[in-house]
Amino acid sequence: MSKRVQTGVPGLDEMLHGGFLEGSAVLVQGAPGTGKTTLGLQFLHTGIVKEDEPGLLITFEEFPYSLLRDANAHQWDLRALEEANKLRIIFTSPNILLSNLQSPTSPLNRTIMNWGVRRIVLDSVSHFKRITRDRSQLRDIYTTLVNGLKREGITSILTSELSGTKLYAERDKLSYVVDTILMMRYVEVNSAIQRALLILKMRGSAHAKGIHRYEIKPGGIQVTDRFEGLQGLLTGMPVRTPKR
Amino acid sequence: MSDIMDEMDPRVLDFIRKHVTSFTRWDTLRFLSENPHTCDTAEHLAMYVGRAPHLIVAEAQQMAEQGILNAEVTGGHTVYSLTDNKELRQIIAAIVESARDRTFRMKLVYHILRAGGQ
Repeated sequence: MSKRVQTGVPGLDEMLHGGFLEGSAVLVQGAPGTGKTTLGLQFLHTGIVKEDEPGLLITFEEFPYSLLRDANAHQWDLRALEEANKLRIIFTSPNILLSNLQSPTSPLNRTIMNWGVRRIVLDSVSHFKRITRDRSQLRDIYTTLVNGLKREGITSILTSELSGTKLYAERDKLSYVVDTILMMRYVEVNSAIQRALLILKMRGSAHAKGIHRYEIKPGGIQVTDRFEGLQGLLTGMPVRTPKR
Repeated sequence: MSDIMDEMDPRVLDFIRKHVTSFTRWDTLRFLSENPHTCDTAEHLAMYVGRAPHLIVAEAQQMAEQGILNAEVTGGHTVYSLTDNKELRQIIAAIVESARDRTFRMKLVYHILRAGGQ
């Protein structure tokens, strides 16, 4: 039986039947502000503090100092974890990361090996589309990326920007390459915006099929109850399920 | 003005005189100190600090030759990062922290202008 890697997000680990499968690649899709990066930080913080598993956050857009500041709002002292060589927040660009993963002696691979890194977050993989517009080449890049992370048995979260109502990023086929897909999105219920989370796919494991509410509070994300009595949630504008 | 300049820590003053010789250098060093595990090309660093790429390309190369930055060729790209030298990192971090103070910032600008850098 595969080992589970806890996310540290209350409610989500239950939906995942204990956590992500160790060594799996997880795609977290959502619109800006839905909490993808927060989920990634919570995953890394939990790994370091509760499991003593060093982690890397690789960011392509948001500056590390701003991530450190945002993490403080959740009482996560990431700077202290960096100073203790338990966490490293790397700011780079997609093509440089790819070259680093491919080269056995690169600084990135040296850090992974020397520290025994167990968790990585890439924020966000949408930036890989800057490398090429060719779909088959992009799929090759995603395959190289995911396999490069899996090679060392690392559990990874890859965030991806997604807007609208589509369920999969079909165009670039990243959905096929990863093991697990989480979707985070806004929904309008009773003239108020709420946040919804669901697990679209989890290769090799059973998982909750329902769409659950979640909140972002000081301390991180908390997944709460399942939406009941509504249909069309993924359109963003659900309606009441008709009574029979 | 020269009296004010004398109040600086000699190590810091020496570093500024030798290495913080242009605004482009200052922007690059400040960015890399605040984001200490950045590794990217000079062109991308230019984008992050909002400066013209050709200025950063030239300065990054010089700073690498002076040991302030690391330069590593990966996948055909020259990738720069802040030096691993702890002492130098501490000095740069101290300058960045001190530069939040207006008086210190004036001193810094004075030295950069004196060095004739852009």
